[in-house]
Amino acid sequence: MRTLIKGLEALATLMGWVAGALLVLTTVLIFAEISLRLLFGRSTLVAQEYSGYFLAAMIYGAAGYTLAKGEHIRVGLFYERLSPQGRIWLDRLALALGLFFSVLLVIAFSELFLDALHYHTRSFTPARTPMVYPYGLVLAGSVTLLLEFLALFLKSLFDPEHLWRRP
Amino acid sequence: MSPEILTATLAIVGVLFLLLGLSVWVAVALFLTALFGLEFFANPSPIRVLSNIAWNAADSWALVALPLFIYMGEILLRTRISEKMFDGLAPWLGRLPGGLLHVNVAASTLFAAISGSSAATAATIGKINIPELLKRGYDERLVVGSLAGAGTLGFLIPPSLVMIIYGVLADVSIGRLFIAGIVPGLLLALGFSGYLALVGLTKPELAPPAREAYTWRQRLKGLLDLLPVTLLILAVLGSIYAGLATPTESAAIGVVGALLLALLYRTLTARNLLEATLGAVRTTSMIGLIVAGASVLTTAMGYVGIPRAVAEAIAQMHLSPFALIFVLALFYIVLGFFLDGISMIVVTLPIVLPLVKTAGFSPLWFGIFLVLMVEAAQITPPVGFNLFVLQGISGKPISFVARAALPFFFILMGLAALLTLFPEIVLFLPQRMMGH
Repeated sequence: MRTLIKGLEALATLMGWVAGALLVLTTVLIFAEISLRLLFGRSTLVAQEYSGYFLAAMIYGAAGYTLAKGEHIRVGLFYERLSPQGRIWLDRLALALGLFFSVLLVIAFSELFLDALHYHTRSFTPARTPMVYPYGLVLAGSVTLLLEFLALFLKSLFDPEHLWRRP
Repeated sequence: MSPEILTATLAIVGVLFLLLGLSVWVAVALFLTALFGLEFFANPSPIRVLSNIAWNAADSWALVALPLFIYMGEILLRTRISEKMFDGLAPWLGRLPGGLLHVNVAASTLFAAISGSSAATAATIGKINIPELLKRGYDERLVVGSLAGAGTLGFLIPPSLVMIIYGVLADVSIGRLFIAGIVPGLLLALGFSGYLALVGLTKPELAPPAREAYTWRQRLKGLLDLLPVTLLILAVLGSIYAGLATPTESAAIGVVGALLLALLYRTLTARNLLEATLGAVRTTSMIGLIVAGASVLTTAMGYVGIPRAVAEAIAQMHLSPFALIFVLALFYIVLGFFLDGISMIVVTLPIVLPLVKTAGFSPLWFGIFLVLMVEAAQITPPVGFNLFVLQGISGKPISFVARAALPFFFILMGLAALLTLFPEIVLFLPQRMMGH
């Protein structure tokens, strides 16, 4: 069980690094767009479109990693007044609800992805990007979030003392 | 309001607060509440709405400014910028009544112009200023309180993460919001400094003028220390105001500028860069997921018909616009005790914005008013991010930090009242620079 949890957490970390690479890429892309426009009066034609895709991939791709690091915001007003045992039960409930939400998110993004795959959907931009790629990225992100919720839920059952230890 | 809509409103709001109370992550609570509303009180398929809105909310060019400004802040946090600002400002401000406490306000104002976050502003300025000021015998309560208050300028003085989120959700130009924040931001900084000067004059033992006699050579060297920050502000804000770049593009300029600054200060290491990148990614994901959840909830409420029904119900009460704003201010102050600023905006905006528009207020003006409410939330306990940051740096209990910040909370509220009475303070600059 511990190996499974560690493996799922490593996957979340990997997706965090991928999101980091996308952030660097977004910076480079937009800076190139400004430089090209100001210096040569030209455009990359894809900076706006791709940086939007990268942002979506960053938000959903790093969601599991952020969860693992305990950096998604929770309102702790009631939680902080509970005993350690009470907190564990509330963590389990919150994680079960998080798991339920992430399953729905995976289903929702799977629909987008499968529709794009089936109808060969492309963006309405000069790049005519096949939408399976950006949809695939957010789907992968939502799957990682689901797996991280699963890892934390399992941890809350089998190793609750170390639930929020950072991976 | 029809009984059906009333039931739906109570159920949806009840579920949202129940989930938040159960300590479910804010983003997850927003998504689940939206899905609950769609499933039980509206026609469209919840999964179809979720897939479309969760994607569209995240795939946004305007919102790309968010990770880039966060990235810039993360890089700057790891430079020696706060040290340089203290060295640069102290020779100029030390002899004023209130002494070096003004450095807290001035450095926060400067840092706010290159950072979008109030907690980052308080953290960056606080880590150098607190030990320096305590070493010189300044009253600890004033030091910590002025930092908590001045830190909130991070949200009001552009660039501002809160303005980006409000602009995206309320469909208001982020460039206009950035311009609209300048005058209120400077007024707030003046208000804070005025209060510190007053304390310096009436109780000089709490805030003694600097003992050091600074020479003109030191003052000029101080200007040199401030030059890199000033250039970065000019590059980021100047590029927007000169029409050379959109707010998103100016954020990318800011990241490159911050990297150059880190290079100049010799803090650009691989480890710092990696930590800054991953830190920015985590904050982006946390805020982005909340924004996406809020967008799905806004759509769900629209399908159920709640915003229109609430706007009609409030209209029937025949409240004057000022009474409405007063009630909203009280509501946000109470909400600010329990929620962080960003959650506060995204949770309430679907209902509050149509109300405010119906009452005749400009969404641009309301954006700035809301930023002030968020700033107040940052310094009110038990949930106040600036309080947490300063508790961490100063090692003082949260009750001490909250009491220290109280005068600055009242100054914030005073400015909110002033902006309500004279909305032109917010609106004239964007109208002058960008037209109607």
